[in-house]
Amino acid sequence: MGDKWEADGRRAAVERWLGTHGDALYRYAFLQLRNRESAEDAVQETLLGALRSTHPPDGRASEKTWLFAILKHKLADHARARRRSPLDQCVEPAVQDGADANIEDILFGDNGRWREQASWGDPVRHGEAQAFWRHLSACLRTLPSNQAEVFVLREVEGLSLEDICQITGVTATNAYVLLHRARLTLRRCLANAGFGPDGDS
Amino acid sequence: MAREAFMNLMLGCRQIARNVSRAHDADLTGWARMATRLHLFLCPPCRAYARDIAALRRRIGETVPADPEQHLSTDARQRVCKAADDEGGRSS
Repeated sequence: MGDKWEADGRRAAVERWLGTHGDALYRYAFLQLRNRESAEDAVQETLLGALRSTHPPDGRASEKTWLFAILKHKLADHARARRRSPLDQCVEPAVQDGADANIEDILFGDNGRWREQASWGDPVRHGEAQAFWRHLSACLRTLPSNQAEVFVLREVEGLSLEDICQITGVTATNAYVLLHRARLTLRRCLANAGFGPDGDS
Repeated sequence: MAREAFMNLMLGCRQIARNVSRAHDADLTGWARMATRLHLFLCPPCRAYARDIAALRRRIGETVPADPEQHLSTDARQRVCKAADDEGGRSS
């Protein structure tokens, strides 16, 4: 019941959520909204929504996946309001194949071998943290939205596959495919952006 | 070439790359694990892929905590707390 968050409990709950999940929720919102204020608003709406929730997480769903699920709904509302395609269309990867022209077909020949080499070389010596993040963000924007979403939840937020499936609604099998395609594309994109041996010279 | 012939008997790079990626998210088991290890031993492009996606993960792990832009600001946190108080009908 909503009584769960009465009086001092409200403030304590919000502070705890902010402390534990605030950054992760913000980054996830920022990835989709690409605007700091909007992302901050989305986090605020999420936590207020969580306070109003009559279904706080039980033992099964972790607090993190619960809050992400609320945020996801807020972002979908936001996207609908802006008449843009919502980013929660986590459908079968095949549906979005056109968007990335199947990265595997580009990178692998009919014989199943690599067609091109797009290795990073030694990525550790390239650039400052912010430069790397800027390139990575630009490359993430080239991905189909469901690939970017799953990749960020996995590699940036470190969520388990189980949590990711709960939040996004994709099956584990699809999550593996989305992650692999995201990695192939990001590696190629980062190499093209100068994170490879060729672009380094 | 004996090595080429052997490689063709094994899973192709396309499948190995999937396995390499999957190994980051779940345990590979049995034959897939063995074939992937053997293939990586023999195949520089697949080794490069494995190295690069491991580096990508490591780099993200180093970058995100270091970048203030990846964090919710103190102001925003205070606004959320205040909004929660206001909505709860409390003045402080």
